[in-house]
Amino acid sequence: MTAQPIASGSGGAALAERQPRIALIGSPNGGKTSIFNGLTGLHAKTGNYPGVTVSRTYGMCQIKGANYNIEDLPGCYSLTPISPDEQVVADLLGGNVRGIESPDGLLVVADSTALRRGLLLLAEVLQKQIPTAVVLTMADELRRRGGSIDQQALSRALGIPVVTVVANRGIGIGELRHLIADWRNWSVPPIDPPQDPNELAGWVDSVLDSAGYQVPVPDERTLRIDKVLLHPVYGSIIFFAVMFVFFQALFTWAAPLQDAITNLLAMLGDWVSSVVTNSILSGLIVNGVLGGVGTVLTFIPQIVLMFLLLALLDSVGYMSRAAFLMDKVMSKAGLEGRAFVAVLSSFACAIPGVMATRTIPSSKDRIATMLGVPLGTCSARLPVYLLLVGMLVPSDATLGPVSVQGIVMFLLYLLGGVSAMMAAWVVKKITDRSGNLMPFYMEMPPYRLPRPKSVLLAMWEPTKAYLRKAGTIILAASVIIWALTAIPGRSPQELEAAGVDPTDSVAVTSYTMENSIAGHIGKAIEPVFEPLGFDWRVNIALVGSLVAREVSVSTLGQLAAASDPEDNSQVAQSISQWTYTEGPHQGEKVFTAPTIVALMLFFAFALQCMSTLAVMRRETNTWKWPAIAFGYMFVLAWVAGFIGHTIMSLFS
Amino acid sequence: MSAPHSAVISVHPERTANPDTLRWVVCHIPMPFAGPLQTAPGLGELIGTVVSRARVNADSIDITLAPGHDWRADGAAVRHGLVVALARTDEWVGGADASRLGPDDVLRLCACELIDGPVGAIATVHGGSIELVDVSDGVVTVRMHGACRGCPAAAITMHQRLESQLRRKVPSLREVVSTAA
Amino acid sequence: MASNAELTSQPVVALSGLRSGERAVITEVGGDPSIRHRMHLLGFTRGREVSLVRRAPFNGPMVFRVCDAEMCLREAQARLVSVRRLDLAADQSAA
Repeated sequence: MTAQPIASGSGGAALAERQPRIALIGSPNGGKTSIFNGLTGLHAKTGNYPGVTVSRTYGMCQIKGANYNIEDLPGCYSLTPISPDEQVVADLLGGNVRGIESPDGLLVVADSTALRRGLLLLAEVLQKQIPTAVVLTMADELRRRGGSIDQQALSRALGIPVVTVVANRGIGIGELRHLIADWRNWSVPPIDPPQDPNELAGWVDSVLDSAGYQVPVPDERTLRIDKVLLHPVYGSIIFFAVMFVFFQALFTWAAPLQDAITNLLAMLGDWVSSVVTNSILSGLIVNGVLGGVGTVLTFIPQIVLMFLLLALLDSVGYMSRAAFLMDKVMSKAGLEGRAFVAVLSSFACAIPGVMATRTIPSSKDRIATMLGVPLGTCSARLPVYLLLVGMLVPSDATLGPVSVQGIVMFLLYLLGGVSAMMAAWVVKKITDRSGNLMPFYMEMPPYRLPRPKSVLLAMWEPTKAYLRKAGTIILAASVIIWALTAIPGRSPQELEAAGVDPTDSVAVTSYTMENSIAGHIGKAIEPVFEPLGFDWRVNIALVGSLVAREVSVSTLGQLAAASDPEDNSQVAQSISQWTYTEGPHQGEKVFTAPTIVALMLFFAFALQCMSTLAVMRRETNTWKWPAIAFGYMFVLAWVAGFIGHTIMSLFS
Repeated sequence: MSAPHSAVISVHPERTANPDTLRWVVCHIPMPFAGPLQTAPGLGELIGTVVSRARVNADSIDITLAPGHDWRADGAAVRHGLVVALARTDEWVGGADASRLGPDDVLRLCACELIDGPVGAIATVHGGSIELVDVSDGVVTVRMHGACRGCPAAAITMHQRLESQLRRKVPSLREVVSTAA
Repeated sequence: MASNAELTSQPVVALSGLRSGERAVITEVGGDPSIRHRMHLLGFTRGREVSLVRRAPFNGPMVFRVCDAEMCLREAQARLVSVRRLDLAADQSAA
């Protein structure tokens, strides 16, 4: 067959200098990511397409000394967009995206076990008049399931180059690289495939027949496994077990690593304090910088573990089964099955939960889930809850065989889960006012063995993104908030004049904090929180909680000059003696039942966690959504706190 | 299986040595004859105007465009016409030397196509050649020459290749036989 | 090998009405043009064979086998597709 050299998509004499751009197109489970990884390895970057929350993956590939830009377009079944997300891809191919040129060549990655469907997408791609070649994947599986295809005959029938790649055995990557290097000489089909659905079906069948395509039988192994995993009873049990393990990993297994990091940084901090004499400087380094770095790093074990498990479950093929089982429940909140993982993760921590929304294809669903996830009762709320529940309910109170404290904790967890789903539902209702219901469809791929390299890369990339984009924000926020509570520093003369012993570090910390910028802020915002019963010292703790919720406990402890601010019972004892220093309730106890309930509800609903906001910023590529989340949750928290305070006041 | 309902016409174009001619490969529709096509439903209006010549083969039709016409512009129209024609092959009218095709004729034509085309090309690459000796009752007889003849492995591979590709095109093939004489 | 499914005399029903294991041939895909086009590209086109693999409890999503792959749809989408069940006597194409 005659090879017809073609002009490049964007034409021009400047081609020699510009790096050629090749884009990968294909279905989500067709092995496209393996091909991309095989070509770009560690030289891949992620970002966002301009103006949308769709993530963009691209990388560099070096072949015979020349560099090629490889773009991994989001997995799709069609190039005709039905949502703004998909519109971006269509715009990209048409060269209408600002800052990104249209590709010079397209590689359609087709799963050879689903070629009858894959050729439909190829037909659409060929209409774009951009040089195209086909990469066949899953060839080993095709053979194993009794199918076959003649690659040369297929190439002849299509009129374009075809290569076969068996990614996990490295077969064909070399041939693919040669093909890419030869992109200017790719043959083109004599005429475009038909657009009429009937003629198109005929074209597909004729091409496949010419290529000797033997359809593979349905995968026996998958059928057998699905009989169990999707069995109404056994399947559900296994599903909950898998989700339990997932949750345990985030909640429990990550903990030792997190503790190790915290301890390491504490040791480093102690060393710095002993070496640096200037208390402000040492405070900045230890509490501000190291504290910030510690905060950033503590999330890494959870993020890495979560993405490891997600990548494993996804590449094996189980995620679609989980989504299938959960879809009915999630649809009650206006979401779909794939959102379940994000919601579940948020019970350990909102940050992996927010990042897990990447698995959700629809951007409206992603945002709705992201805005709901921080309401899930995360592990950072636990120390606060434990402190407050301990102050509210005596430890020996029981309701039958169950301790009342346990019941309250359970209710708080339930509150988190329910409100997260409801919030997502509300957001979805608001953003989906157009009533444009996206059709739900999801492929159930055969079960396949995961490729270690793909799994590792799937773990590495989000971690890198988190460190670079979110980590910097969290570090900056930590330093600023530390500064708010520690500045202005007090000289020994000032301390003595105020009646504080300069050698008593606990008393010094307490005094400094009370009179710091945060202290002034705390006093200034008193009118806002007065209806909830918070006094200015509680407000300082709220400022501190912006770094991490559990910091508020130690802040309260430090303010109360508790000798060990890390010990809940000591802190509880100290702060329960607080009385209002001024105002209409002067002299009355601060931590009455209404105040405690108000504070619990405030913590349940408020988005104080700077880190969550930073990750939201990274995932949506804008400050708009984190701002909205912070805003609506603040209002929600205040109102809930107020209602709680008011109702409890009626009882006491 | 996901095979289509019988109403769908399966056809696709492939390039030939002549840039104005496309070979439209037809799937599972028996051709009424082999030879020049004078007229057919759907194609009648095109032959003589857009299309200068149409020649029917065992499992395909070679369509040549008239000068001044271009496949990019006229391909869709030709395809539409062809799809209509393929639904009514009994109404096709052949040229002077069109000959009806019996099952052995179909086999012979397809075997020749393969030997002149892909299978023969591979034989040449290995320093040999294949010759079609006879076709009768669904049995195709060939003779190997050159390097293929001396080497039993090459002969077997060629044999299998020819047989599998031929059977794909013509399911009624009984077997391919190699003869020394 | 593409083999022709026997013309079936069964009535036209919605895809969502199939029971597990039943095979049918698609007669029409409804819905607005963009949804129709998407369904086509997923493999649901007139003349293609489709079968219901399984269904989630409580009217949850349904898994169909079409174009040699398994695709999950919600009931709302499945309702848009019209099919005729294949007669039990329809010829079984060899793999």
